[in-house]
Amino acid sequence: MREITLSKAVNEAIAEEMRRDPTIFVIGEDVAEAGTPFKVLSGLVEEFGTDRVIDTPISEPGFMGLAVGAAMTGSRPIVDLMFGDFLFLVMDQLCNQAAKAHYMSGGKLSVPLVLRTNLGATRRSAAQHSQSLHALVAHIPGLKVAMPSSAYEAKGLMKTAIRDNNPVVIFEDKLMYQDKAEVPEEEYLIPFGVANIKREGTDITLIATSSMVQVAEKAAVILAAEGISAEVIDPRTIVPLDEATLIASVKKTARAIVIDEGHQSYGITGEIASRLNEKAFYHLDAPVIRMGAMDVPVPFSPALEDLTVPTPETVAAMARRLVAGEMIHAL
Amino acid sequence: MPFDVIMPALGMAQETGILVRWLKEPGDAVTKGEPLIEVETDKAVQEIEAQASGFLSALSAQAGDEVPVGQVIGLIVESADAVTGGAAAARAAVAEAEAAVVERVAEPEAEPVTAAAAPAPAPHPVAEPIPVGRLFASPKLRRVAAEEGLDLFLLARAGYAQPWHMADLDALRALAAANAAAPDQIGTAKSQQSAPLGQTSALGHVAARVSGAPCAEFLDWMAVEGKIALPASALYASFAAAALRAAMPQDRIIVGLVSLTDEGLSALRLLADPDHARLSHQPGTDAAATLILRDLTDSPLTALRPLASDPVPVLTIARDGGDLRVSLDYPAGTLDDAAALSIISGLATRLAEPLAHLV
Repeated sequence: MREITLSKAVNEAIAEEMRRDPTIFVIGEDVAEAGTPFKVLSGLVEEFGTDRVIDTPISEPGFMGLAVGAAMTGSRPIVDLMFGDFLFLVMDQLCNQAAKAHYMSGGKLSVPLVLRTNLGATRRSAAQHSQSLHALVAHIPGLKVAMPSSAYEAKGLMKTAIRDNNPVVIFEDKLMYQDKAEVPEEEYLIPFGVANIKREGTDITLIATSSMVQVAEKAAVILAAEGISAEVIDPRTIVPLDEATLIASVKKTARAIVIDEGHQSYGITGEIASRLNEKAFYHLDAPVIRMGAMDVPVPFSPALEDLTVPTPETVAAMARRLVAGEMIHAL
Repeated sequence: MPFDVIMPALGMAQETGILVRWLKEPGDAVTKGEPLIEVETDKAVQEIEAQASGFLSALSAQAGDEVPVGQVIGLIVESADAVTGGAAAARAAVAEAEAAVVERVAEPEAEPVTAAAAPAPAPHPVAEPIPVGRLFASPKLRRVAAEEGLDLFLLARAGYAQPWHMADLDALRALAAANAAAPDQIGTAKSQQSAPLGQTSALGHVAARVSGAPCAEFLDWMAVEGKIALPASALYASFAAAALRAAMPQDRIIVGLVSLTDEGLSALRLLADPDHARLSHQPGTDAAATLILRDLTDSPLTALRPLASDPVPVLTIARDGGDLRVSLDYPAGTLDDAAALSIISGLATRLAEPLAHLV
C-alpha cells in the first residue's frame, strides 16, 4: 500500500470532502496561498478558489464566530486554528456558542463545524506554541474531540468529522506532519468512539493518544525484549470515548498506564484512569497510572523541554515497576 | 550430645524475637528440616526448621515469650529417655499458644472463669498478636481470594512481603490447601473429642473493643424520642445477628441470649432473627440457637470462658470502662477465621455507629 505523510492525508481528506459537498469551506490564517505554516493545505486554494479557502486577518475570535454562524445557517466550515494554544482566544465562540446552540435551540440549530488545530511539545516553540489543550474542550459537553495518531487516522477521522453534524475539534500532532503511514487510495472513514488496538498484549495496557501512541508502541518494544507483553490502545477519539475496549483490555491485563501529552493534572489521563478505577476496580492488580506532560509551562530550553513529556524509556520504566508488583504511591 | 534450639536472628537489626508457638511437644521425635517453632519479628511470622534430628526436650521459652536472639529455648536430645519437661505442661503451653495465635487484639486477655465468680485475676502473658493492620493486596487479588474463599491473612502469617498481587495467588492457594490439611496451623484445634468442661483448646477466639457511648446515646434517644424502653441486650442481639448474617448469609438465625445478673447467668432466651424484627419486638422461638450471645454489660466481668458444651459460636459483650468489649469464641468446625473476623468487625462497626445498622 502507498505511504503518505500525515500532512498529505489531512489535505486529501479535506479536498475529497470539498469535492463531494460544495457547502464545505476552509477559513483561517494563512490557509490559502501559504497553505498553513505546516503546508498542510497546500494546493486547496488552487483547486477550490478563494471563496472556499479563505484567508482571514489575525483575529481568531472573529473568524471562529463567523464560522459558527455559517454552520448554523447551512455551511460546513473547517476552521484552521494555527496553533492549539490559540484555543484560549476562541473559547466563547466554541464552548458557549457552538457547543450549546443545538441544545439551547431545542434542536432547531446545529453547528456542523470542524475546528482543526494541533498539539505537542518538543518542537522548540516555547510555552505559548507548544501546549496540548484537548482536555479543555473535552470537558465541554456538545463538542467531539478527535486525536489522530498517524496519517491513516488523520484522514479517516477528518472525513468523519466533516460529515458530523456537531462541532468537532481535531488535534493533530505538529511533530507528526511529515510522518508517513499506509493510507489506502480508496475512500474510508474511521467512526468516532472506536478505539484501535495497535498491539495486543497480556501483562499491561498502555492507553495512549495522538503523539503518545508512538511512544507507547516503542515502550512496548522495549518491554517485549524483557518478556513483558504490553497491549497498546489508541482511543482515536476522546469524546466519544470507547470505554468498553479500554475496560475489556484492563480486565485482561489487570494493569494500565494512560499516556497523553496534555498536562497531567486535571487532564484526560486522570479521566480515563478514573473510569477504569470505577468500572474495572476488581480486575486491577496495580493502580492505574497517569503519565502526562509535566505541570509546567513548556520550557524553551531544549534540554528541559524534552524532560516534560513521557518517553518510551519512562513509560517502560513505569510499566516494569507495575508488572514487578512494586508498591507505587501506597504509603 | 544435645543440640541447642535457639531464637534465630531473622533480620539484620533484630535483637529479640517472639516465640509464637512450638510446633512440637517435648518428647516428640524431631527430624532435621521439619518446622519446629514459629517466630515473629517486627516484619513477619516465620516457621523455623529444626537444625538437628532427635527428641525435643527442656523447653525454656513458652508461646508469647520475647526472647533475645541467640538464647537457647530448648534442646534436641538423642534419645527419648533424655527428655525433660512434663507432657502435661507442654500440652498446656501448646493449648495456650494455639489460643494466642488467633487472638488478634493487642490487649491482654483476662483470665476466663467458668461462671459468675470473683473479678478476673491479673492478666497472664499471651503471645503478641500477629499484626493485622491494613493488608496491602491488589483489588484483583482480593476479589479472586474472596471468590475462592482464601484468607489473605495466610500470606501474612507465612511472611510474604506486601503488597500482594496476583503473582502471590499460587502461594496463597498452597497455603490454604496446607491449612485445610492441618487446620491447627491457623489456630483452631485439631480435635475437640472429650474436651472436659471449661477447656478451651478447641476454640478460636477473636476480640475487639469499641466505645460504649454510641449505643448508650442511641438507647437514650430511643427512650426519649421514641418512648421505647429498649433493653440493651435486644440491640446487641439484633446487631449480632446482622453481623453473622453479613458474614455468613443464611435463612434463619436464632440468637440465644444469656445475661449475667446478681442471680448468676440467666436462662437462655431464644430470639428468632432479631435483626429482621423491629427493635422493640423480641420474637421468641423454640428452635436451637445459631449463636449464643452473652451480655455481661451489667456485671464487672470482662471475660467468661465458654462452656465446651456450647456447640455454637459464643459472642460475649462486656463493659470495660467506658468501652464495650466484644469477643467471639468459636469451636472448631463452626466458623472459619475469616468469618469470625468478619462477624466481630461487623458487630463492632454496628456498636460504634448504631444508626448505620438501620440503613
